[in-house]
Amino acid sequence: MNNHRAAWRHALIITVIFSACLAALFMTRSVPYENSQPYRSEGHHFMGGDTLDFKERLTISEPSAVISMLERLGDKERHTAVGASLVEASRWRIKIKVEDIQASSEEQLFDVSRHSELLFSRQYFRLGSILNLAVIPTHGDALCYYILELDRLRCMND
Amino acid sequence: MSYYFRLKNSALVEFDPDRYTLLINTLQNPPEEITLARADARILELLLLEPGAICSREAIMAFAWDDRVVSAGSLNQSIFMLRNILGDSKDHDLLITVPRRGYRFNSDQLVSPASNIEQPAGQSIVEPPSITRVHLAPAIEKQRLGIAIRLGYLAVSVFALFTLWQLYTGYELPHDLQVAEIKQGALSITAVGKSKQEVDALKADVLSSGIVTDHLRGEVFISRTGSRTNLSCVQKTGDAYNLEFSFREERLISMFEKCLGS
Repeated sequence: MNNHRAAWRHALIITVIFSACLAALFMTRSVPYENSQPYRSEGHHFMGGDTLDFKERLTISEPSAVISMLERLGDKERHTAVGASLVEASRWRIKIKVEDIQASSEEQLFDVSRHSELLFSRQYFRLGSILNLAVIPTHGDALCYYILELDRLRCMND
Repeated sequence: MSYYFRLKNSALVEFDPDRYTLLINTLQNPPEEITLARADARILELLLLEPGAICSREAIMAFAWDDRVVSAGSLNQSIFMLRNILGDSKDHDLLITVPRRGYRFNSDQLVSPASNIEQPAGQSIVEPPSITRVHLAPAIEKQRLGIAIRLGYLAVSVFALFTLWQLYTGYELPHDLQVAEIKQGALSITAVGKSKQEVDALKADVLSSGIVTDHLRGEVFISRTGSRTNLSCVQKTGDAYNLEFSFREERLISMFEKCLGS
């Protein structure tokens, strides 16, 4: 009788530890985004006297991702859609591979010779390239990340 | 169920494993009842469950202490106590040590429950096999239970270690990104960069810019590449906003205000 009671006690302890581990694992394996949820953002590039307005949208629908951008400078406008496949997703890292790029125009909206750094940061989307989005911890629901290859910081909300 | 056996002085002993008691009947003296320590009683019970069979030290410890971790010295101490109580401390004829294997109870000393105190010494009756058989199955079951529990603990320990490792790697920020937070009232400013030096320099520049942030609310993330500064904000409404500008050309405080929508 004593032995059976002890066995039940041990079984209970094992079950509790196992369940706790399972719950912890489930939490660590969570990704920082909601699947198929479009994340939006907008902002400005200040370039001397000019201001380039942009809107961005990121949607990750496993196993693919789409980054859409709309840029406007004065009366000129350009939009770009980047299709990517999801290579890896963890709590702090989203790794994507660029599979497709569609731009409304190949022309730059700004004077490249005057704003070369901006050009370099914006032209990096190349077919086949791998982009690492390092996720930054935030206090709210916003998705903030730093694209290591582009040195680009972005915060987006759903 | 009680067990009956004889001591060397021909006293008849009735052992009740449920109450942990030994009732010692001698011809000369009135019956004496001794209450054993729980572990001692469990050891005696296990040895009597399969009299004559060798019980390993590990099996005895698992049975007597319910799989709690105890030192070998505890078992030695219990055997020593039992032998003292049973008058077996000198010859070890009743609780027999089997070198490197364990202990066994001398089945020659068992008597049937029908035996009484008047029965002459030396005419002990071996317990009928039926009594032993009744207890064999639970004994084996208990031993199997002990092994199952041990395996369960082993498996759950490995799983727990794996989980801890996953937690450690999962919550640790990637090494290729450094962040440093500056808390200013209701405003949180986080410098972001690829190296610690870069982040520290950015943090120092923000702090030395002398900006007053008392009226600002929300989260600001700031990074710098060359002369261009990237500001990403989560406003108090939860909306996100991003700015890129030249650190030299724009005032930081006005960028903060634009970014946070103040």
